[in-house]
Amino acid sequence: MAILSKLILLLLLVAVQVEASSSSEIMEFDSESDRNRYSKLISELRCPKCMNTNLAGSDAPISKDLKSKVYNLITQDGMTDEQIIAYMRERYGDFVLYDPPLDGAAMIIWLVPVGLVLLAISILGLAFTRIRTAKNSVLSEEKKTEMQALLDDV
Amino acid sequence: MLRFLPLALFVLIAITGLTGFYLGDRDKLPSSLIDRPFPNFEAVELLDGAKTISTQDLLGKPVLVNVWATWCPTCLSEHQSLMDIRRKTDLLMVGINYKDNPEKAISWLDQQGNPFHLNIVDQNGELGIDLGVYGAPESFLLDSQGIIRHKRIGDINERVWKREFEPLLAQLSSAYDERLRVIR
Repeated sequence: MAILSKLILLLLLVAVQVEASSSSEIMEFDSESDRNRYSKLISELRCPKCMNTNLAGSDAPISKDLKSKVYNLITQDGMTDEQIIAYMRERYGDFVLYDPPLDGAAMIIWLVPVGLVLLAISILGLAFTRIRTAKNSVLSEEKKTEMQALLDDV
Repeated sequence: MLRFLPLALFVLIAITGLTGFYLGDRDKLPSSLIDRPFPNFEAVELLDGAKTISTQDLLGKPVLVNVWATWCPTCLSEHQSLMDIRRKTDLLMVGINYKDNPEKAISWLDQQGNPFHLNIVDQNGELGIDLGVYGAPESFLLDSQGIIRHKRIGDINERVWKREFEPLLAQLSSAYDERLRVIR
C-alpha cells in the first residue's frame, strides 16, 4: 500500500513537471505578470491551421511563429492584451479567437437554441394550463340537469 | 396553419446547424484583409540579392501575389497553372517565398520555370503573419492601387482561375484602363 501511494505521488510529480515544461518552454520574461499574460493569450488564441486547438496546445509551424509573435509583442512592443488580440484579429479574422464576438452568424447559432427552448416551455405551459382548467371546470346548471336526466333514465 | 409548425421548426433547426457547420470551415475563412491595402514591407529579391522590394513595387497595375515554398507539394502541383497565368495575362506576378531555404528556392525556379516577375524572400514568415497566411499555397489578387481584392487558400488550377479570378480580373482591368484613359 505504501509503495502504491509513493508511486502515485511520483506519477503526479512527473505530470506536474511535464505540464510546467510544456507551457513555459524556453521563454524568458521580465516579470511574472508578462509570463502570465503570455500564457493567457496563447491559450485564448486559436491555431489558424488547426481545427480545434489553441496556440498553446499546437506544435504546427504557424503556431510556433504566432507564439513568438505574441512574445515579441509583449516584451518588445509593449502591447496591451487588447492590442495583441486586435493585431491577430486584423490578420486572421474572428477564427483566431476562441471567444468570438456575438454578431452575424454567431448570433444565429446562439439565439436559435435559446429561442427553441423558450418556445418549448411556453407550449408545455399552455398545454398544462389547458389540462388543469379542463379538470376544474364546473358544469353549468343546464348541463347538470341534462346529465341527471340521463342518469335517471338508466 | 399550426399544421406547418413542425416543418417550420425543422427548417429553423436545419439552418442553425448549417450555419454552425460552415462557420467551422476554415478554407472559407474570409480574410480580414479583403478591401484593405497590402501590408507595408521591405524585403530582399530572391534572384537578385542586391535588390530590395517594397509595397511601392506592387502599385500601378493588377497584381497576383502567390505564397509558395519548396517544402510545399501543392505549390508544385499549381506551378503549371501559374506559368499559364503568366503567359495569358498581363498581371504583375509576385511570389512570396515563404519560410524557405533561398538556395533551394532558386534551384527550384531554375528547374520548374519562373512564373514570377518578382520574388519576395520571407524567410521568417513575418510578411506571412501580416497577410494572415497559415500555410502555402495562398494567393492574393491586388488591384492597381495595391488593395487586396481576393484571397485564395489552396492551389489555383484552371477551374479555380476561371471561377474565382477571371471575372474579378476583368473588372479590375477595365477599371485600370479607365484610369489610364483619364490620366491621358
